[in-house]
Amino acid sequence: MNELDNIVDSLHDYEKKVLSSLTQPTSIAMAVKITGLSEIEVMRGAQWLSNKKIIVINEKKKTIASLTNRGEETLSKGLPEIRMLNSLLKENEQTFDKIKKSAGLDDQEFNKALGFTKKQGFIAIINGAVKIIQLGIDYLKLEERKKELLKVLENGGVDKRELQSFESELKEMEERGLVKVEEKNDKELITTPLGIQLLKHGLELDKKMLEKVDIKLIKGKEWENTPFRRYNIKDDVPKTYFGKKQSYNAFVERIKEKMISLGFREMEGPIVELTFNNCDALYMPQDHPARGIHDMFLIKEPGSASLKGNKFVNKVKKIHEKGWKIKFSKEITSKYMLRSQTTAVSARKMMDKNIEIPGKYFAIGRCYRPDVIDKTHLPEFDQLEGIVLGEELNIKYLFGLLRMFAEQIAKVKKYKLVPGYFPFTEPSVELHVWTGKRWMELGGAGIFREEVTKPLGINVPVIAWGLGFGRGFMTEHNIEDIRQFFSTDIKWLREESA
Amino acid sequence: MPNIEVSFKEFQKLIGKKLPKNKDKLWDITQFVKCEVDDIEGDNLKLELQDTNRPDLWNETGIARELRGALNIETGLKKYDLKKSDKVLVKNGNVKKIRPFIAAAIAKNVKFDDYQIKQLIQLQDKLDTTHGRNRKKSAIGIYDYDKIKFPVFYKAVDPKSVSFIPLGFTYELNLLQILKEHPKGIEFGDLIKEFKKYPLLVDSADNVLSMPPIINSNHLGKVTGETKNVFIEVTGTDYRAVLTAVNIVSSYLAEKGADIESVSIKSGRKTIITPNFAPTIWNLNNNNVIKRLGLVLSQKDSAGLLEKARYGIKKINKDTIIVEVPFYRTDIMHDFDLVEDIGIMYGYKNIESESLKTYTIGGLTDNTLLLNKIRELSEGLGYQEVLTYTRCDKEGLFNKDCVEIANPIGEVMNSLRNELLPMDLSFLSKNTHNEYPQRIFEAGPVLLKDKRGVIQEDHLAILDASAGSDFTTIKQVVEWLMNNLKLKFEIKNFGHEAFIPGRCAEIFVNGKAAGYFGEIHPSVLAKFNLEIPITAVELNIEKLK
Repeated sequence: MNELDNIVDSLHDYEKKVLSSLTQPTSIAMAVKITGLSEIEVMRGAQWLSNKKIIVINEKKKTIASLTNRGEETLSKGLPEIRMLNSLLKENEQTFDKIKKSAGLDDQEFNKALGFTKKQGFIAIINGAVKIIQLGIDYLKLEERKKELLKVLENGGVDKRELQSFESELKEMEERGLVKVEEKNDKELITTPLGIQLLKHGLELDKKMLEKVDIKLIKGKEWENTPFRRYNIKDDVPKTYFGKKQSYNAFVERIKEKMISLGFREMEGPIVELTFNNCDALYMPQDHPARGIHDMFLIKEPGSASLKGNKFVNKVKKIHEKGWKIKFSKEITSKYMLRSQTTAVSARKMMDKNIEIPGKYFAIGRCYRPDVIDKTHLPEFDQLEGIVLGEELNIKYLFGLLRMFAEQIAKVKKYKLVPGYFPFTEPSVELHVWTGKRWMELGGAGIFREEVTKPLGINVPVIAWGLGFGRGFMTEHNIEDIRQFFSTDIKWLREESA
Repeated sequence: MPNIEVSFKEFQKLIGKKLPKNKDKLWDITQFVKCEVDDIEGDNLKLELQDTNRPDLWNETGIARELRGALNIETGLKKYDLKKSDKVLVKNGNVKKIRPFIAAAIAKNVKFDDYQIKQLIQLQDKLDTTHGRNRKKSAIGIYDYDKIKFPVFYKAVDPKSVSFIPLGFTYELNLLQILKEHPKGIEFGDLIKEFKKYPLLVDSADNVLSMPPIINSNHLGKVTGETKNVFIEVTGTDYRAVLTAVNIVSSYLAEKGADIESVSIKSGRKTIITPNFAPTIWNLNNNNVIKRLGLVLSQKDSAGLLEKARYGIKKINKDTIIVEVPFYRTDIMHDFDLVEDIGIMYGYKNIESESLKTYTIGGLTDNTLLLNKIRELSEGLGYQEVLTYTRCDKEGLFNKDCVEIANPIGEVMNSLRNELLPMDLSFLSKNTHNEYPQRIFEAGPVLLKDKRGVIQEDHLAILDASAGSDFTTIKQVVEWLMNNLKLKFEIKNFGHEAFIPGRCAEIFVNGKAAGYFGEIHPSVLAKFNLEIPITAVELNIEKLK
């Protein structure tokens, strides 16, 4: 089978009919006439042919004159005044009623015709009878032009440029509502060299081809002998959207999977947290600069919760008063706030009697800070944090953990560890990774101060770590603005990989 | 985190060594004091100090002193000369309830030019803001020593009884007027407003030095290029903070070549002398060094590294090292604070990393597992997951009984969502120009109140916005979900503001209300500018466990 046979076998009935009508550049209207298809069918066939580069559809703006409904009616019956004048030419001086009958005019047509001819001075009315006069006879000759025009338009719209000789008639007919003149996108169908080849090759218009596979077709077994029409598999299909994860959530899930594969167990805690868990248990002094109302969101009602029965509060109070030398306020510690750091979840885990030692834990949690919103700041954001507990832990293991994060999470070989500062760890270290262009801070870590762990009943070293991961999502999805994490654009969500 | 700007040349001179003018290379050096190089522009060097507990580092001489140690240019305890003067500051007992503490110092033969004055103001500002907690715990005042007639008096006075010309002004104001009219009075007035009397510093000629912690007088409290000798005082509500501030400012001036003299603070029969440059003694257990760092360091090794970090070594015993902690190191609370400095001076890049050896099993919490299962089922339905904020406008919620934020940023986003439905309807309302059908779901926390306090629940919302969406559509979704979760459920008629009455059902699992579904009322659609039928379900995942 050669290429042309393949193409012919892929042509739909509409396409074959349209193509066969194109022995020369042809308008849609003409193609409709030749093929006997409806205009929609011709358009579809033409579009498909054009997709296959068998024809080109030349779109041109044209001013087209065509008959209105009234125009068509008039064409079949003649213009009322012409009918009236013709009738008078046969038999002059007729009464109104007689003319109506002889010229076949209804009341409306008669009134119009009478008004027009009288005004133009084509007739005279004498003693209730209508009489044609010379001017009317001359006019009748002239009117052949109008008839001619209607005849020209009989077979569909015609380009106004082709009607230059009818200029005045066209104007009058338009004013009378018999002809309409419109700007139209006229489509002209022209075969390409491939189309010409196909026409030469033959379109096998009578060849039976199977179309859609349906139950009837399957049962009918016609497919045993009849070929299926070949589809153009490159044709565009309408867009449809199916279900999937939100892209950022999907990214978070993959991070969680990674953490699990590294042996970390997930921990969780509430969004609305007690200041005790968010700050005090972490040995942040109650007058710490990062504990002001510009740094954390507080809750209006209920503003605080009872800490009765919490056996850790007094121990934390004691260590604060010893170390920071300021009075520890139980009112402050029992205040509700929106969690400002996921370390609160680590604090909760350390207070959990089921904590495993040795153990590795992580949490990805929503945190809140009253930040001004811009491309890199949101008052609502996620943090990835965790703890590692073990009797043998020291700074070397801390560095080993960070090396693992650099290699496994950031996937880089070049990284550096520099001294850092966090109020609850000592020593503290920052992890910076080389992006190929510059150093970027990926995370921070340290060994919890004993002022943190001891009051919570933990007597082994605890590594606390946190990693920034939003940047990774931004790189993966080529976005510059972290507000995109919460995109409200369904189009973006649909089209972006999950 | 304090940021400071210094002259690169001056910084280099203070360290006594040529420094690289490349950001990353300079950072390799400044990291010894947890200092990041933000920018080098010409001679202007911008530094960011990470440690909020090291006010001694918030100026160029403090950083340089530590780096001289790290670079082996000058190690061990830095000693400053302190001459005892006969100058006296008398503290009146009536400041006790207002602003009880004061410390002072004298610096002679200071060399002030524009740059040096700027640096001093920068140091003063950083100390007042961060260390002094916006002048509450401590606030610094600096004066032209030669104009002051000693003794100086610190007392509380009736705000209307005293007037003086505040710094930068040309006319006198009384203390009350200063709080109302002077920019610093407006900014810091809250610190003393509540008291009947305000703190005041005057000299023996009855000239006002300042109204601490608000503003200096224009007469005595102005330091210029002409000033030769200065008087420094720090007042505050926290004695440690006050003393630290006066020590840091005077040692800063000493580093800049000034001669420091002490002042006697007399309070009744008690006299203390400030500043105080004496180190404190710390017994460091070397086993803690080995334990925390995992490095085999002898007592001597540790001692040597401590000296690089500018500690003094008094004696090395069998188990402990007797360390002299410099007066400016108020951050030392535990052996491990010294251990970290030993580690830093050993060099983080010289410490080999070690892989964790303990075998641990990873896993997700039961909540996450259930949430993931429900999210996967929703995806299977052909719905697109969305993510909305947990904060919202109270106005936009159907149920106005919600957890409100006490200090929202501006008017909006003042509450926490108590249902997902309004959030997701709002999402759809932003997508009316996009193709339908729009089928979305969201799973995540909502916040509620009850008598125990704030309650957090995970919810699931599924919304179908499409031309043919009706009660059948959403009921099919609910049944499919429940069947796949192996849950038996009942439904009852329900009234919810968002739904058409008679076309809304409440779901009960094990007899407990677990959510609702139905057809959204056109009046609600109109509120969200939606012109397409929407059906929705909201499930409380907690009740599906």
